[in-house]
Amino acid sequence: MAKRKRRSRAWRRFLVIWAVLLLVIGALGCAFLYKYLDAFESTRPELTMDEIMASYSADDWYAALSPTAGTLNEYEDAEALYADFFDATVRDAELEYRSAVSRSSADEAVFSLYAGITRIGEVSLLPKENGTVYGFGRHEWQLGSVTARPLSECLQAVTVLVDAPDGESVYLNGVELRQEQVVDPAVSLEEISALEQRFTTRQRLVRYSVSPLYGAITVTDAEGTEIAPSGTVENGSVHYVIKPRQTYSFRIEAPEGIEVNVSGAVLGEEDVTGRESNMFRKLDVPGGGYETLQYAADGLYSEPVITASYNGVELTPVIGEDGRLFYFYPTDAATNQGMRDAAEEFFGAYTWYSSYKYNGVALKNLSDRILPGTELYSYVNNSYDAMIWASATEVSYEELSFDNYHFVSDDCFTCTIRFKADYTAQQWYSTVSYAMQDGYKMVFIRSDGSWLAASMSAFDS
Amino acid sequence: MIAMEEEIKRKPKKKRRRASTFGRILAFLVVTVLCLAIVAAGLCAVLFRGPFPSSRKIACNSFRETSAVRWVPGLFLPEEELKSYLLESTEDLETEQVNTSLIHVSEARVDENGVKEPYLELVDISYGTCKGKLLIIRNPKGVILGTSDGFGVEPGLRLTDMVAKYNGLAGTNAGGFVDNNGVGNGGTPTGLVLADGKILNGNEWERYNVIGLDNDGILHVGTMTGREAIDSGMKWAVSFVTHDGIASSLIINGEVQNQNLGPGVNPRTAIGQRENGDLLLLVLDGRSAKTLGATLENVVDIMLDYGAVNAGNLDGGSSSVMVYGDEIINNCASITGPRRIPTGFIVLREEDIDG
Repeated sequence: MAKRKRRSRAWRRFLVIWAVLLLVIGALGCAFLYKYLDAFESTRPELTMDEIMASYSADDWYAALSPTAGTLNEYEDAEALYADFFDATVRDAELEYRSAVSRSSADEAVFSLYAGITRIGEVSLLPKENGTVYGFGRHEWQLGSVTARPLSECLQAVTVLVDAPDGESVYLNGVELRQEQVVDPAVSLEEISALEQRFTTRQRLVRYSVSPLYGAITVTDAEGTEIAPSGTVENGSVHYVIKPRQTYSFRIEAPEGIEVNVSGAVLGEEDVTGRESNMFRKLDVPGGGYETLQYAADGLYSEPVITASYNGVELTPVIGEDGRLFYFYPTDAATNQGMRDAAEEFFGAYTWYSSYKYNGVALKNLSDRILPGTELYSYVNNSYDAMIWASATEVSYEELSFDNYHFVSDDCFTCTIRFKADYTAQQWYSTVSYAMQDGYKMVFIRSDGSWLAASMSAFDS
Repeated sequence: MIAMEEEIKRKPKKKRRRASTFGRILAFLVVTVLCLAIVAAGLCAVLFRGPFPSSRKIACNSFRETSAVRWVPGLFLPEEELKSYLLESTEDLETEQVNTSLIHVSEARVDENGVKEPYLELVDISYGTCKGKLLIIRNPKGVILGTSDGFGVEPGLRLTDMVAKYNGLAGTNAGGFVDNNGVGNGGTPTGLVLADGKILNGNEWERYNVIGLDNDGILHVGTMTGREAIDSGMKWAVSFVTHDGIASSLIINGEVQNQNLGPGVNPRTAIGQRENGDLLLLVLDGRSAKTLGATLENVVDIMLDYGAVNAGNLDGGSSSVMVYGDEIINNCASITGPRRIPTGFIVLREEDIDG
């Protein structure tokens, strides 16, 4: 019994000691936890970051970030671009930070700085020198460095393409584009006329490519004049096209049936800009007559190479004062002579009539060579009265030429007469002289075996 | 006669001795448990009642995120103070949807030296309390949702078994499941489960916090109905929302969903996607001597650091597990070993990827 009591007491003592031991260890654990949490609270790098965020103004952030934003390229001022970026994105934004896990360690706490959803830089915290010792390997923090996110990552990059005529100096933001930036030496012009698109040889442009660019773009010439005010944006690139400054035009007249070729494009019905058949107006023309077709184009970037042919025979144009090209049907020598004789005789009578004042013989001479019943016949005969009043005018014809003979049929041919006429008019108090360059498209119809003039249409030669 | 009398006296003595030993063991256990309970209460009192506001907030959220011990903070903190530490429920508030045009899934890519980038890349994560693994999958169509069989009837599968079932290379746990007091068998998922375009759990008209992949391998995170998930082209999807109703979206279209980032520290599983389509599977350890765990802010930090444009939070805590090859490569927080789960994101072998 006594032994049992002794054992019982010993057991209770053991339990008490055990409980006390557990509670003491527990108390020590609580104290340890208290100390650890105290150290944890005091050494969180977020505390230091909160202080920094509270104390830095927008200008402080700009001063800290801008020097580390990096450079861009020879075409852009990185400092100016960063200032614009900062003002637009950061200055008035609410900044916040997030820990940058992959770049942090026990001795460096790195935080990414955000303006809204845009990451703008990093703040690095380092162990504070001479800071309070907290134990548990924890320490206070101080600002280490502030680094801006590279400007090239903050801004959207584009590729700039510039198409320019070969040999022309082009400047991008004031820096001349160079040969090594050429990516395509023969780019087709896109905004050209339908006719020019048919040319087999066309003006080509040289394409330069510069990448990446981030800011505003100006394309200028050597004098600084903007030569491409706007570009087309597509698929991450901005495309500027500088068209050739010089453009070309042509004016061509050719009778129907003559094939006119402009730089490989055979002109067709769709290219006709005008038609003229006045010389056959109101005439009953054996064989039906023909039209003179007019072709014109302006604003061509490629210098046109113009040729013409008729039934395989290459033709040589007559060039008018305004550069207009006149093509005529080819003829052989014998035909030319026959038609020439008829035309010269008529025009000789005409010049005799118009050179002499009030000459009835000249009138009859001329009138006999004109087909009766035509407008020309009426015109000449009715002009006699006017000739009375024009008697004070003298005219002489020079540089006379006859060409473009064409048989419309066996009984009808046309031709062109060109001349320079010098007029001298006697007025009351003075004498006036002037010259005219003129020409006539003539129609001759055979009547009773003789060639008679049936129509005479003036044109500017 | 005397011997018999002595025998009779000896029997009750044996009985008394056995009863005495049993009582002592019982007393020892009672005293030990009582003392440990007092110590635990003391530690919790220091944590929740001490002058450590940040730690208190973190601890409060950490406990509330678990299944087994989420009731503990309520013992030490008044209701009002408790609520002040917790995020408001965001389960039904999300309206933002993933802009799929921001994601450009690339075909096989080469690095600056012309070498084809590897299909998988495993990265060790180690910063402060964040320790874990990040798996980068360069073909997002290589990730599918694996499921256990017989939802609600059969228990879930361990992730190693689930990866083996699909002949996969790797995997992580995915959506939430019924886990009362932390002892669920992983056989009953919660919310929406979409596999190969078919709804295996949930329905078409209820709204869920969804994390999933569409036919093009694009990650979607956000709140939507089952019908909306299917109509948006989603093929594989799960749901996850915390016990306090915090939605699972972490990053949508490059924008951090701050309203969903509680400060609690726990093991984590998350999925994200880069602009070029690369998928990021992240598992962070916790509840161990090596690391307590990670906050959702830490998860977002890691995702942003690795270029995620969209990211979603998956089931964490003791469920967080990553398998690579045929073994678990993180430190699973479950004291009974890797948990059984109903769903997991499985990384297929490259040759098994469709289209």
